[in-house]
Amino acid sequence: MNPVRSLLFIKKASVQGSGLSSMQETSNGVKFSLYFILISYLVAGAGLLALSLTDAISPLFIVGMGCIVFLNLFLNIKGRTFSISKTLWNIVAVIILAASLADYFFISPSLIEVSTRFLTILMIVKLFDLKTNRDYAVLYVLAFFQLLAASASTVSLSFLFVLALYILTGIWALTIFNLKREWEEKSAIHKEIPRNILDPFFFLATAGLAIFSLIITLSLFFVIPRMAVGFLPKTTADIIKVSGFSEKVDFGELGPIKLDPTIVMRVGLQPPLPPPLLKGGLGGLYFRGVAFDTYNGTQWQQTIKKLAFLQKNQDGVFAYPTRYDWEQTALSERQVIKQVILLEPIETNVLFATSFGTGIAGNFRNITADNMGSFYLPAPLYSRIEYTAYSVMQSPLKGLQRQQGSIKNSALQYLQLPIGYEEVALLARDITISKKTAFEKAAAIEEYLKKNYRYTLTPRKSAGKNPIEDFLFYTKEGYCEQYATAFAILLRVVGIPTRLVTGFLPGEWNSFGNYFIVRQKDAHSWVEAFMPGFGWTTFDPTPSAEAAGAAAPATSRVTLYIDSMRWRWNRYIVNYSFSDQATLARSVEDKTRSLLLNLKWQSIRKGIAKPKKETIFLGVIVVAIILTTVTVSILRQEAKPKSVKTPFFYKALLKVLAKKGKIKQTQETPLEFANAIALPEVEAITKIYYDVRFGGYKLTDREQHNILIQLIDIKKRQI
Amino acid sequence: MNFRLTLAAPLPWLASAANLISKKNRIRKNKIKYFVFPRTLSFTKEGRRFIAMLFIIGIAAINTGNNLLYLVVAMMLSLIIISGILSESTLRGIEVYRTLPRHIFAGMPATAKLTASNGKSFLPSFSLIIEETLPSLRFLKGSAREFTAESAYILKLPAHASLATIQSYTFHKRGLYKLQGFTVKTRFPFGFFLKGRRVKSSIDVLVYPRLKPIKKARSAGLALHGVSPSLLRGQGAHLYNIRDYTPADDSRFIHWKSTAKAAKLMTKEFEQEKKKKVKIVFYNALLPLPDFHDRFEGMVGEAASLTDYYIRSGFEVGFNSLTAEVPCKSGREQLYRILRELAIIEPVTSNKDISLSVKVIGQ
Repeated sequence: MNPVRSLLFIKKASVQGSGLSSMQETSNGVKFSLYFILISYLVAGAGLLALSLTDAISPLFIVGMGCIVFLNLFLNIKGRTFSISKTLWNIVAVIILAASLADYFFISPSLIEVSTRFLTILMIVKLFDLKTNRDYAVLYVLAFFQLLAASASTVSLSFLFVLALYILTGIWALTIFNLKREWEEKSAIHKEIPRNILDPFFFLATAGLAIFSLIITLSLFFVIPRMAVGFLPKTTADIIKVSGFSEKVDFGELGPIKLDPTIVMRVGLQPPLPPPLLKGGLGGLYFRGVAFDTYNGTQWQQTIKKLAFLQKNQDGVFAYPTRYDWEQTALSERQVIKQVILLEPIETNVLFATSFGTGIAGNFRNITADNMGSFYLPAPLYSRIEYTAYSVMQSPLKGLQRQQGSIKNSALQYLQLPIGYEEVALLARDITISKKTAFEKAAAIEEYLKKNYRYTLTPRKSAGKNPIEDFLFYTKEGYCEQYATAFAILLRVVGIPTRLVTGFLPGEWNSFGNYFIVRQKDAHSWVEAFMPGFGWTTFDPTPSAEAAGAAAPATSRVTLYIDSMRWRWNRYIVNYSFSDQATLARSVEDKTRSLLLNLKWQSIRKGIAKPKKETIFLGVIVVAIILTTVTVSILRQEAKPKSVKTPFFYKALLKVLAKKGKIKQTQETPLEFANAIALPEVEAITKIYYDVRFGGYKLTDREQHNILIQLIDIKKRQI
Repeated sequence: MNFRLTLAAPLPWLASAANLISKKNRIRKNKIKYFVFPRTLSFTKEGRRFIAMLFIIGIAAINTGNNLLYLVVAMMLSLIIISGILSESTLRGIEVYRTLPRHIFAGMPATAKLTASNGKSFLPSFSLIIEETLPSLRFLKGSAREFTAESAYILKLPAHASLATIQSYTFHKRGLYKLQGFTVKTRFPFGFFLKGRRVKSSIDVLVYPRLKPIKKARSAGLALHGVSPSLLRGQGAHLYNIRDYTPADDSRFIHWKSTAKAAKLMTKEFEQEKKKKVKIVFYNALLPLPDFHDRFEGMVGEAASLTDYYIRSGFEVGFNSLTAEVPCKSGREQLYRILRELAIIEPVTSNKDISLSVKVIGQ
């Protein structure tokens, strides 16, 4: 190519007509329409997946619908679409609506259930009628409604993944849909959109955007203002059956569930406890449920239970009244523990707290407590709830031995004994014969039970008059219920008030999320005995209490990690509340303040003097100027002309003249140089150069051509 | 991530908010816009529905306190943010230039070449609609001009690439048009918002008056005045010159002797029998008539049409008005010289007692 001509080459892909046709037929690959169909089905799939999260719809329905979607996709790719007229489509929609209404009134009264089914069937029918852009738009909207329906009826962690999938496919589909529609609107000739629009970069970029969008979504989620109104999350269908927390507990009721690994609750602790305390046992943690005062030989009952509504204090905590017995413990010996408890939907209205609970906080209208230190909701919620429990821990071993005193009148109610326990009474006296204080007696009996009896979940039956005699004198084996009941009776025989308590051991510690996973099999019963001069004290005579949790094979780290994800999801997403938001804001404020303080401290340490008022004022002005400049520069950026480079033709001219020995000196202006050369062509080009360089003039093709010819002329001429 | 991009993403929202606030003010006072925001933003039909849905779901979220609904609301908001960033990135770095033909007549479509180039080093631009920015109030003031320009659509403009398209412009009236530049708009990526960016590319366009065919009666009248071009038809008898033959010449006038001598085709040139000259005289006087403007424009059109008619008929044509004078000459360049005067001619107040008229004076 001629060197001068090559200078005039402008990189361009000239497109005639409506400016579109150049990019067709350039690359090979999957056809655009196929991409579009696949991505639209992916969106539909994401919608269907979202619906599968709701408990309202049976998996069979979802699988069936999924199969139809696949079949339909296959037909669509093969190009065999069904033609449904608009009227027919409307009729079908009306029939589906009528069927759904009938479903609602006569079959299933759940609106969510009916509407999800309605949406799904509508979507499936739409899939058979995907022709116009409008059809696709309707499909996307239906899929979005499915996501909405799922959000309203599930709390599963899987929702996050479905949401992520929806964002990814949604961004893809919407972008491609929009391009397709605009192309069809704007292009005169209705050709298929060029394939090279959708290069791998396009898909990678969209995937990156989807991740970015998810990050923004989560950040916005935490920032969107919440209302301080208390609302309860919706009901879930899986309600866990629990035993031991009703007003009566049959002897042996707890046995069968001791093998059940279902998670009942997850408990996070503040402040974090030292490792020895993370195990259950005396001085350790016990998640206390309810206490029983009367034993009739076959079941424990609550006969003296008195319920009272708790008052909310200024911190929003339903505080337990302070008149209770265990309050005798000296203040210095107490440690307050805050527990954040995520309780699965269970069949009881009992709220659990570590012994001994002092208050409950949460989105509750009211909470009741009984005189035995238990907390209750007005009714079982049948939904996953989160609340905060406050407890004090005793350290009873310190100085308990020396405590002597009288038993308070209120505690005398806990001395009831069933008839026919004479042999048990004899045994109790034998064990405690040399012991003086209540604590010594209790400790002796506890030790006796731990030493002489064997822990088993399947105790044999025997010839005893009652289950306790069976346990104490014949089989000599049993689990927590046998141990605790025997201990309670033995203590009562020697005049120490006792009550049986049911609840949970801490279960498994999840170090990924720093919380306890409490399962059904961690259900436990133990005894609280009244120590004169001290108050109610926890005793656990069951030997394997500490080992109960460890008996099962350790959960794998992956499972623990997934569970910690679930815990976080529930803790920070599903149960995120106004107070969490306030805490977040406070922590941000605190961190900023501490950072500033830190900086200040460092500056003082480095000997930098405290800034004067004038300096601060100056600083503010400088910051304001910088901000204004940045804003104005962004706003003005459009108006600013780009810096103009020397036009290519003038460079070419200089090159041509240089070859002929005429070199432009730096001090010469182009006009002076042109005058010195004294050639009309040079003068003409210089004039155009001035126009282009300083006048912002844009050359036409003809002018470019003329310059080229003039340059060739100059090249030929002798100077 | 491009920080500037993120920083600039919310600006169109501010712009549309500011526009909404100041709209009332602007309409009432009909004032000049002192500050033009670099982006325009409007909702599409889908965008309006999306926002409506967002509000409804937002209210539902507040009402039920369902955090997963809040999550959906956050997702929808994030889509708006993503949309803002993507449309910003698609509009950035786009430059547009146009090349218009040299001679443009009012009312006649003119084909212009639009060249759009993407100056970004890495990111392609999608789905661009390029529209000529219509002059704002300030430019409409002096001489109200109207024009229509086809908008161009570019599906994809790769990084560092240029694309050219041919678009038709129609200027409805004569005069000087100051084209400001373009508004590059996009609905990319989701079609919820139509975002526009102004690209400066100013150029002055002179539009000649509309040419009309001379009616038969009028040309007959002109013939009576002795200035009918029909008298000019034919060539004179006397030989004037012998010169090189050009394909435009009549082959009957090839001078074979000279052709043989020079070994190339030579043709005879004849002396014109009579140098015909006319002068178009336009009294562009401002008169207090109710339909003056229309009449004036009609006269301008007539003057232009007559000039064209005589130039095409080989006359030397001159032009005189109260404000301008073009001496007699022939040829197409002379036509454009006179048309340029007519393109910008305005009525003037005159103390002479003359009426608005166009006259052809034969010389």
